[in-house]
Amino acid sequence: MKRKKVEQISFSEKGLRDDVLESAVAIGIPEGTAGAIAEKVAAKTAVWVATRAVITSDDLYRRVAQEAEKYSADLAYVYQNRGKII
Amino acid sequence: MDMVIPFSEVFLAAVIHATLQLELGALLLLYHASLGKHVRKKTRNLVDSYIAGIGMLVFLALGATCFILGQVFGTELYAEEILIVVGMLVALAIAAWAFYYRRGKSTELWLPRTVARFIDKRAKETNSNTEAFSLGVLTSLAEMPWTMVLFVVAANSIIVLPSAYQLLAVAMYTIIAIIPPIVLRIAIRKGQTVVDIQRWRVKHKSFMRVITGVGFLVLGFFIFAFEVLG
Repeated sequence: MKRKKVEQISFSEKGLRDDVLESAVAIGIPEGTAGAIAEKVAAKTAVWVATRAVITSDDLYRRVAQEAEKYSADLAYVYQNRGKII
Repeated sequence: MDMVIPFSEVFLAAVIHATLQLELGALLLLYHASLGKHVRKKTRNLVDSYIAGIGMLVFLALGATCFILGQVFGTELYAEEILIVVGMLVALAIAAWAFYYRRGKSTELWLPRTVARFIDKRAKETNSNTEAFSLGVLTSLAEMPWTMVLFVVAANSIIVLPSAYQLLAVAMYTIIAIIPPIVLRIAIRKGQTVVDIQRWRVKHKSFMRVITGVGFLVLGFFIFAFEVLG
């Protein structure tokens, strides 16, 4: 049987910050607040990622949800449900 | 009375179509991705195009099914053929209960994960009305394993109607099938967020599963009673 090819991507703090910002704006958080939240969540997550050699995208979303929970339960919910809508 | 039964069958099939969740889920993904990137007006245009894509495919697929039934079978299905359709509806009812939704506290559907990921990716990358329209068509196509039998049931009822009413019945089916995305659009316009709606979907997942399953069963019994025994 053919082994499934695993897609590998490297972590980008800027990419995560933009993603959190878009998600926050999408759920109605004002842009200024969303920017501040995105900055903090991305920075904290980057510190956590730096301590690990390899992580899965699920690990990353769980961690982002954990960090986002401090600022917005709705934003955390978005990351808890990433890839689980359909 | 001649038209009540066919119209009822079309109505029931359309309502069951409306309870299916893939089109709604993809719309939520589109909404979420677009609201984060675009101004509200652009998002509304994308959503309208997406709904138009669904409506167009449903309309054309149902029209094509009517045409095929009319051309290939010449007339409405025989009782033996209706029995096969009833069997498929019962099978779909069981399948809806068993595996329409995946287990867990989410609204993940039966779709192969690669297809779900592709739709998810397309929803995120949709920036133009054409792409949104295509996404609507794509999700409707992906839902076909569940909707094909509904199209056959509806088409079988539509072809017995006088030709003046056939177009009306196809339009009625299409409109009912796209009511959930339209309601979602209105809900977001009224201030609900994607998160509110997704929480509602997760909370009422079991209810939706039962409604879909019971719907397939009821439609099966209905056409068995009126088309086979009647």
